[in-house]
Amino acid sequence: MKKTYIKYDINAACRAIMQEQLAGLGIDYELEELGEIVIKKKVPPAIFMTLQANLKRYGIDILDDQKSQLIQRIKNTIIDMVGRDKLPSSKISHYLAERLQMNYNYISAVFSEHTHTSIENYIILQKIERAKKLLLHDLSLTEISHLLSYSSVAHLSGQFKKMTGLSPSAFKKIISERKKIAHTN
Amino acid sequence: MAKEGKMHIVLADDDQDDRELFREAIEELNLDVELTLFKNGDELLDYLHEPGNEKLPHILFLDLNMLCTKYDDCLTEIRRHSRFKDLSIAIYSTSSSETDVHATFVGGANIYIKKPNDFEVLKQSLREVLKINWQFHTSGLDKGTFLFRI
Repeated sequence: MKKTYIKYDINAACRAIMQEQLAGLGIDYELEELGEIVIKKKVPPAIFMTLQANLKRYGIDILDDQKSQLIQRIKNTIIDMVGRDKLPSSKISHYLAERLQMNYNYISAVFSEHTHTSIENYIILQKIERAKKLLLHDLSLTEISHLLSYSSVAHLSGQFKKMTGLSPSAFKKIISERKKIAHTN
Repeated sequence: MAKEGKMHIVLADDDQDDRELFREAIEELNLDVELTLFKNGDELLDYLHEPGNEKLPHILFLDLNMLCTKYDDCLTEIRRHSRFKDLSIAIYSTSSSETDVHATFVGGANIYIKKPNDFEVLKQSLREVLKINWQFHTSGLDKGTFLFRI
């Protein structure tokens, strides 16, 4: 058995699936940034339900209430921000308010009320998720702290420990031992 | 606080006192949860393997030293099946030995909780665990690298 690795662009993959599914059902649409779709003409309920069911197979959900839509937009904006090679230099609250065209206090309140977490913690969570990926690609803590705009390696290690209860090196050791076992089985 | 749906939690622990403490702690957290308890590993595995049981819990708490007669080890048995690949497993144990912690993480656990002696600490730990697990669940984060020790 031979194992091959793939690299994928999740955004491009989702766009392709959406285009295929929407066009397949004859829906007139326009895809915008970060998971927003403009549907131009009214879609009959039966077709809409088919679309929902088809997309579900790919793990894509259509959000139809306003608050869930807003929360998803906030999450998408944060994920997009953390995934860039350089985090914004302005204050994150200003950045989010500007990208979402909404008052930050409002965004922050809606987010905390519905997600079991806060925007600040969610950003830390996403940054540490990215740090994990970079660690497993053998980047050093110094390189990762630059990419994720941490003021120091100590700050990065501290947040890593807070979010996982483990040091970055202990984390890496566990994942690599898991992979070894998977290879030998 | 939960507006993204009900959280389904399962605990398998052969100590009756620990099961009751766990239930009480969860109830006092005032979250929108459904809790299912099992007395041993066999009951748990029968439940997970039950035909037609499509809906997996959001998190499974496993007592490390629990009785399991059909299999040597519950964690290994669950992780052997690809259907349970994304099921969050939290080891709930009296042991804080580094060897146990490391071995269970390598064996596929996502979370390791040392059973605290203090009820308030237990509540706080469970709250932390449920909150972070919920983020992994609702944001579709990679469960393969989800590790959390408390």
